[in-house]
Amino acid sequence: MMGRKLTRTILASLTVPAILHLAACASGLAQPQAGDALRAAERWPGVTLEQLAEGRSLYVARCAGCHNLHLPERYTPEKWLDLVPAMAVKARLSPGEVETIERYLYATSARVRDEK
Amino acid sequence: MKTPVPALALNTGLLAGALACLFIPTEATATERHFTYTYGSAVLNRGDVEVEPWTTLRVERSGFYARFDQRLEVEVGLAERLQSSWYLNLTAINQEIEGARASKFEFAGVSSEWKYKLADPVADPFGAALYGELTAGPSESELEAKLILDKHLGALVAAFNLTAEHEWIYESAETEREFVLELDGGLACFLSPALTAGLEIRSHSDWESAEGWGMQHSALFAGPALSYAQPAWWAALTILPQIAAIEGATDGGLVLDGHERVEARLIFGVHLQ
Repeated sequence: MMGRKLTRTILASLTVPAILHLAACASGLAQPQAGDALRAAERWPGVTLEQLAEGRSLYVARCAGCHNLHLPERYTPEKWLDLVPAMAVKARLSPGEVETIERYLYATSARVRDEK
Repeated sequence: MKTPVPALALNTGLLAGALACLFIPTEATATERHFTYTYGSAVLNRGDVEVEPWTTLRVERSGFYARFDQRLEVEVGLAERLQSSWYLNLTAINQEIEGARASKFEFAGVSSEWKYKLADPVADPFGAALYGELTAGPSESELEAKLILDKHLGALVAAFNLTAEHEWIYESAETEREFVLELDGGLACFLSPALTAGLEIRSHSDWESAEGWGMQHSALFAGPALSYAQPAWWAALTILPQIAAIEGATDGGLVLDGHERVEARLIFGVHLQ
């Protein structure tokens, strides 16, 4: 009787970690790729893959403090250019940081939306 | 006459609901809570401040028992990934003792909480954070450590906490010590960009020094969790009936000396800056 109760409790306690494990198998926030840098360079000449990666890090570090992160493909590249400056004051982003985040979201949004 | 719901139909319904959650757009603030016992990994940005009044109602033990635990929390983002909080704790209890009702109200101490975010629940495979809390009060002190895991996938939010606590209780002539192990989990879905509904599960087990460190009580709670968020504030509510005793059952398969039949917790969060 006691053993069955303990088993049920352990199973119940393992349910959420199991769901977390399944969720972890799903894709998260897109990593920038070489093609993204070329696409971004059309708007910001000279931008590199490393700068896009820096934009992703900054997006995770600063934007997740205000809201759940949105995947880049949720909005069009042009929409991101409106959204990021609008949130810059609350997130205390400098103009340089705004542009770094914009580059990452603009480029990966365009690529992932095209892939879909 | 009630018609029993076939288990397969219920499971299919739950699965369909969970899958639907993956495709609902979400628009929430990160610092909101979706569960009141289970923490998420989010921390405030540096310089951000939030105030959170907590109210926990715990009712019915073997006799009449009603208890309000009130906490006032001030939460501050200290650095990238690091957040700290300060709590003021108050407790009011009305209970039946030897046929008569007695009430007491006490200052239950202050707490300091520290939380460090390791990974993000959207950007990384799992969100993760480490959490530590120290409470000092006139009748009890407590040291608590917690591992927080969570994941946001579409409109689905899942979280799991493993918590270990060591308590020093000063109510008798000799200080008693207690060790507590708690597992908390929650699963919720965004029904709209502001509203989530889900389920929260909590298991609480304790071992006491006065009893030779034998397990004294272990109980399992589960119930609904709701949260609602706006840009400047949020609220979260959980109602947790005790559903099973693992150790120390007293009445009807439940632990009703060390735990209550029902707990409910409401937390408001207000962003100050």
